[in-house]
Amino acid sequence: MRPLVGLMSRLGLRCLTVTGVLALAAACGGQAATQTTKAEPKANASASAVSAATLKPGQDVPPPAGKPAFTMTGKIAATNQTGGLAFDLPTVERLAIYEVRLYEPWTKQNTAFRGVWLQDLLAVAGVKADATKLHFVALDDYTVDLTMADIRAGGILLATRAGDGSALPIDKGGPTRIVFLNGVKSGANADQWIWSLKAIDVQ
Amino acid sequence: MRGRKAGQFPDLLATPARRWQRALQALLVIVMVSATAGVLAIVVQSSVLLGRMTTDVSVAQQRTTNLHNLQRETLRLLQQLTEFEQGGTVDAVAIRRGLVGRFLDVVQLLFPASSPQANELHKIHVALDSFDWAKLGEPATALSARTGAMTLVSRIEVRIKNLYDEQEKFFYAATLDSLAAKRKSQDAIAVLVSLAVVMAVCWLIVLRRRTRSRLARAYSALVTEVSERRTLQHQLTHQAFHDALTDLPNRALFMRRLQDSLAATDRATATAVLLIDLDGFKSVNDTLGHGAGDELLQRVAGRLRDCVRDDDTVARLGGDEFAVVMPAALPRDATAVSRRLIDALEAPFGVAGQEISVSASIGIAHLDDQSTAEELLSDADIAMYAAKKAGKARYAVFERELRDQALHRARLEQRLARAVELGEIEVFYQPIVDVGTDRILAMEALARWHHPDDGLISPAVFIPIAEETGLIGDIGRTVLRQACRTAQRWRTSVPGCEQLSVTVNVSARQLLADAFSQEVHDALRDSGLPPANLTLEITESMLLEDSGAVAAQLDRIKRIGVRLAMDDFGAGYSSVTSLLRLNVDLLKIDKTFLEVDGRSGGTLIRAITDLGHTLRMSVVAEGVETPEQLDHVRAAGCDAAQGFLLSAPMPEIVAHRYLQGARDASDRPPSLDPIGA
Repeated sequence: MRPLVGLMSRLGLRCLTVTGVLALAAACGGQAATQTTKAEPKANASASAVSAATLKPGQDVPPPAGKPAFTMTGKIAATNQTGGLAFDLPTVERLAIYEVRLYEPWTKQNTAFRGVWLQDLLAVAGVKADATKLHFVALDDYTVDLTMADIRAGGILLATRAGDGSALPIDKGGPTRIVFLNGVKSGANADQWIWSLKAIDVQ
Repeated sequence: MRGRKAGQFPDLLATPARRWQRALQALLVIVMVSATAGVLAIVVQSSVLLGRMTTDVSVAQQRTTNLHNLQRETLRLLQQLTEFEQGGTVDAVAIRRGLVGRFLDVVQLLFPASSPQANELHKIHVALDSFDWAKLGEPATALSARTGAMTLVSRIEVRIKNLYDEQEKFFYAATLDSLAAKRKSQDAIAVLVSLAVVMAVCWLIVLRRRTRSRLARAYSALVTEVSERRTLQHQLTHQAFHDALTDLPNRALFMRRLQDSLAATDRATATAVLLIDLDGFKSVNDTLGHGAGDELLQRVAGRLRDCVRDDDTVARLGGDEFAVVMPAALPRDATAVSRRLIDALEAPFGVAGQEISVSASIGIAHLDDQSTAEELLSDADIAMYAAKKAGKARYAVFERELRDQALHRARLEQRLARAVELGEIEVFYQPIVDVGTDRILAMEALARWHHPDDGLISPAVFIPIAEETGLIGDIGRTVLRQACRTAQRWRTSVPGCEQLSVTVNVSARQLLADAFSQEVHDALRDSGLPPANLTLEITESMLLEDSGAVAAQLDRIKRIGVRLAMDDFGAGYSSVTSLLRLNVDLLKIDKTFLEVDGRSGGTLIRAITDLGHTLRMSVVAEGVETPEQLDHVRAAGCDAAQGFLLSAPMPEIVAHRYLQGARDASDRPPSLDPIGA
């Protein structure tokens, strides 16, 4: 014990402190490494109006003229068919159209989209006050839930076209898909970016 | 003290053993540091590895999931193509195909560009797109197109499945690796934490030890200081209560012991105090020096200490005065100890290369009912004085009478001192008469104390006191000057007294004072008395004190021209040698011879007178009180006589008248010239 004591008396606090700090740094290092590898380049998200709305909340939503793009069911006031609303793309595009530019986590590219704000869509659909979340279903039966709070926070777009105005093919995630402006909390997880929407159930 | 400190707190560099220990310490430091560094490296490495693996796993998971989705959509496409016959639509097939295409893109992006997997997926996508799906909508070609499509899709499905299997395997492997790395990392961290804990514990121990050793050092310093202070205090106390020379208790401690003893004594066994005074110590100091005196005192102290009982305390009160306090002492104990002390001092001391003998006079005082320590000590002092007076080397026990005497004496001393100041000491004169012619040869001047209340006090009482207190110097000088003046006046004013002499007694103390011969000279000069008309009377005992100094002094006096008389001859040693040596002019025979001669018929006086005459001295018989005695004296051939028969000592005025009357009685002038001179 005596030599050890001597040792400690020489190096003492300094040795201990250095060791402690290094150990802490090492312990944290692993965690830090795993997190920093996920860091993503952030594009400057921007949104600009393309066209004004011709279909406003309170107005009846006409039944789809052609093939419907997606349907809405659940706690909504407006209906145009039994059990809910059916939207074809032209009807959807009567809402105010915005063009957004954002980082798409799946293709890992900055991409432009055109579409309507999800809030606007819900307003047109007359979502009831007691609704708490939206249940999205894709053509491949993939599902995503978003809370009403997330949606009211804004920045979630129902994209109907690419940035250049061309329609979205299915193999690009069309005909409609949900995109999030960068920095929107609910879009942080790429799994939330549901594409090829089939139905929206308001719950 | 210093030595003990060094023992308690050794210098680490002091010995080889310490050096060895230091080497071990250094080694341990190195081991400890390298162990820490090694573990730290492992931790960092595995943390990085873990991070990478975690990424790999998460990527693999993502790929697996999406490959799985791709496979699922491919199967659905296949299913759609199978169901095509039973009312499937081209649109439905297109949707499925689109979804497959979508996943192909997504999955391809999950692999690095131009990796085999990415290339494979790209090829699959190209193959899917290059099929002419439009044929499916045309009834003519629908059947063959469907068969072709199914073949294509099922091939695609197999290729996708292969990719999936491969990716799944990788995922599992990556997961396992990741878990292993995680465990390794955790183990390393655990080791590191353990090391840190061990170091922390060691450090705490070091801190504690350091604090403890600092405390121990402080404590030891404190103890040292306290003990030093205590030692110092002890020394100071010892010094305060002990005599520096002999290391015996001093007066303060003696008094304390005495008081303690008095406080503790039950009256049956009383306390005794012995006061010891060395006889003749002063002469040792004077002749051999203070160094020898001090050495003698130390040796005496040692012998005294050996003589007393264990409970007794020997103290040195100062100078050559020692004291013993004996608690619980019976009277015979005190005397026994005293005798022992006196005996112990009997053997000579070898001091400064000489054999020196001293004796002690001891005064013993016993506890009295009312005695205080101071009284007891003063009682012992009185007894010691008595012992000294009774002769030396003996003891005396205090008695109440001694104290009364002492008190009386003390009172007398005070009164005598005052008497000298007030001039109460008168000079009386007694004639010395020629027995042949009845002429007055000389007048002896005698000091008389005429006390206003007590009347005349005998010289036998006050002269010894005066000698002891030193007042004899003053008294002697007064008597000498007055006698000279008076004698000169008589010589000049009384007819027939032109040759009158005066005799004055001189004490040993006066004679030993250096200034005495000068005083004699001054007295003669001031009075005008011729030196030959002054006779100084000395006694034999004076010669014992310091014969050398006395002889020198007497020699000086003789040279002035003053004459000498040997007083009280026959009362002491009756040394003929000293008579010869001192060149005495007048021999005064002590009165005891007259008394003795009353029976022996004057033969002794005759013998002494013959001796005196032989030595060319005049002979005077003292104390002649009866006519028969005068006859004896005359018959013995004495030159002169003195005594009450002739005349008692008289005051000056009476003496004056006596002289005038005596002139008528004889026509011959008085003469004290030695026969034949």
